[in-house]
Amino acid sequence: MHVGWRAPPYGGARFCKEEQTMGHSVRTMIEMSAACLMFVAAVTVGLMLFQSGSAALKWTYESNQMADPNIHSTLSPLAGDGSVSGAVVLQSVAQIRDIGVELVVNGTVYPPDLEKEDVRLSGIQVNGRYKPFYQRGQNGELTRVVFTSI
Amino acid sequence: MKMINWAIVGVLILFPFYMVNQTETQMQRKTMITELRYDAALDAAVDDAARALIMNVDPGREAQYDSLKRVRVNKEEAIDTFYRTLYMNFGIADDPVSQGVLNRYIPAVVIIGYDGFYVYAEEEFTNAEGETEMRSVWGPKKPYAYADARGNSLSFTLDDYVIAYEAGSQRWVEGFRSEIAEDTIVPLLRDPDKFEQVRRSTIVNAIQNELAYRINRHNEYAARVGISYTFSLPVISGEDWSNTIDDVGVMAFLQGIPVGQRFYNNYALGGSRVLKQPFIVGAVKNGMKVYYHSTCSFPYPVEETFTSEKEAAKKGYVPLSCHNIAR
Repeated sequence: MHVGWRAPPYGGARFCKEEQTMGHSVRTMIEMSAACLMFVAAVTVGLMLFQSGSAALKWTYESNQMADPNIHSTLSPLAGDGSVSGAVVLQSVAQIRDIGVELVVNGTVYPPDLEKEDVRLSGIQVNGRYKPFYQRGQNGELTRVVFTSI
Repeated sequence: MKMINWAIVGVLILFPFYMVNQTETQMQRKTMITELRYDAALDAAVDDAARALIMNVDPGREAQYDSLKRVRVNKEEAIDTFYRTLYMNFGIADDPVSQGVLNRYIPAVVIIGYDGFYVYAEEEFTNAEGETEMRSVWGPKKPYAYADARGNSLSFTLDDYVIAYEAGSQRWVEGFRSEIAEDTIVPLLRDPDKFEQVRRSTIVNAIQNELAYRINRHNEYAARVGISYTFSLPVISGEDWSNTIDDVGVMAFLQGIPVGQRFYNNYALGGSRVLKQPFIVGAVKNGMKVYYHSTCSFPYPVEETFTSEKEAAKKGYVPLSCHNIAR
């Protein structure tokens, strides 16, 4: 009697093979997923490491930049136009022996061997401003300083 | 895809980042090491210059008894020593071309004297051949001058010594503030606190303004030789300024040398004063060995002297305070 269900001659074996194939695929998929996950994690951590290294370098560079005294701003403006006060001119005349060169203030010549007690200083405005001009010799040595009021 | 392939892909992704980081780290490291070397070179040069500053060529103008700070500065010797030490530390002692290049990065050297300061900076002048020459030369001595609203003028020094000009009587008064205060009508000399405050600010402002001008001018000269760096007077801390105006000394600037991704910019200060260290006296007081500082004026017979209290204690001497008046 060949009535009813009959198992195919290789059906069981095929079923087993499919079952085995599925198991391998799943296992491979799981392995691949794990590997992929690990890879992504490794790359992420690696990139983060480089980013933190880069940030540290940037921070070092910026802190060095901040340590550069030129970068700081200051509220007090520096004059620095080369002009001098009348007080400087007057005291320069007083110390003319130390300076050792002739001084000319608005056309008045003060020789370098002058004693300060002998000097007539009424022409020098101590609260005024003067522009100095330095005359130099052939070796760059100072020979005369000319002050002109501005 | 095999594990090895993943690894290769990973390495390929991360390698450029690694290389960039490595390069930057190396550059930063080299920059910092170079800056440290430059700092050391500049400090050594300024210290040597400050030491040479008090080498006296004229014994008649040695430090006076009235003030230890009153020293005739030997600025020529100081500047020679400064450059000699700097060139040696930069390894260019025998290379005039490199020395010339390095000079372009030194906008100014200041010599702070007892009653005025000198600036050594680049200027143009006509040389013996009739050509325009540009090199560092000395400026005139600049006094630490101040004028009050009444037209009186004062020239300060690194201590209380002052040269005053009275506008009303047109006479000069000179001496320590405490000694001449009663002889003059200049109000500032009668107020010691205000005098000190004005003295310090006058000295600092005088040096600062002159330096700002000299360094600004250096920009013009430096641009001609291809240096694009903008030289400017660095912000100098109050403590440094305070040290500057306490003793004769040297202040030098080194700016604009390209180092890595930035420019080197620093200044150095060197003070120069010979201080006599008080020694320790070992004496016998009522048969007991005692030691005290040489500044204490005890009449006990001196047995020996020591350089430190530790040495005296080792020899069995016991300390005796200067304030111990039970003799």
